[in-house]
Amino acid sequence: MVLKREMEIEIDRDGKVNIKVKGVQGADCLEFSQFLEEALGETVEQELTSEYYQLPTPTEITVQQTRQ
Amino acid sequence: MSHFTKVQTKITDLDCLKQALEDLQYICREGEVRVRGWRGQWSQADLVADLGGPYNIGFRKAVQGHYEVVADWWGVEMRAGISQAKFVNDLNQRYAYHKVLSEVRKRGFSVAEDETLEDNTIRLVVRKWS
Repeated sequence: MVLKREMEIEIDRDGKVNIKVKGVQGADCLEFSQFLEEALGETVEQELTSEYYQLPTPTEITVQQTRQ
Repeated sequence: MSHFTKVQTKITDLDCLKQALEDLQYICREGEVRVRGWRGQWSQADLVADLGGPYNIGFRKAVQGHYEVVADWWGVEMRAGISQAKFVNDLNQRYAYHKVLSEVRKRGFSVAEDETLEDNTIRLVVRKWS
């Protein structure tokens, strides 16, 4: 299957760059735009959206609770 | 949509820097060049943008690998009417534009959309099938 992967890039008037990755699920998407982030400078903010949490493979999650 | 990232641009690519200065209509000189300041004082730089007067704006490669802007801003603003904030912002935006295009093309993306919005934000959509 061929997948369309997109990045929407907005460059503010002061040169700050906002990158949105589309069509890439799970943790892969962080790697998908990493080359660009590294080439441009320093990442100042990162926000994960719902698609990030659609994990491509089942993952076991362990929750640990501590009480004081 | 998967994630958003905000990146603060750092100028490291000399070719993109020169393209950005060209977009902003500056004439550049490279090599053993000097940034000129008040009363003939000068400082060494790797690249200068001429302003057609006694002052100019220089770029010097820092040890960390990025280019620093060097200028006698008081003189530049008085004689050429260019403020540091406006110059640096405009330059960062044009630089980021060229750097983004150069990097995404290297990775096999095609540019699907390229526009400047009303508030002067540049918006690009790049695409790849895999």
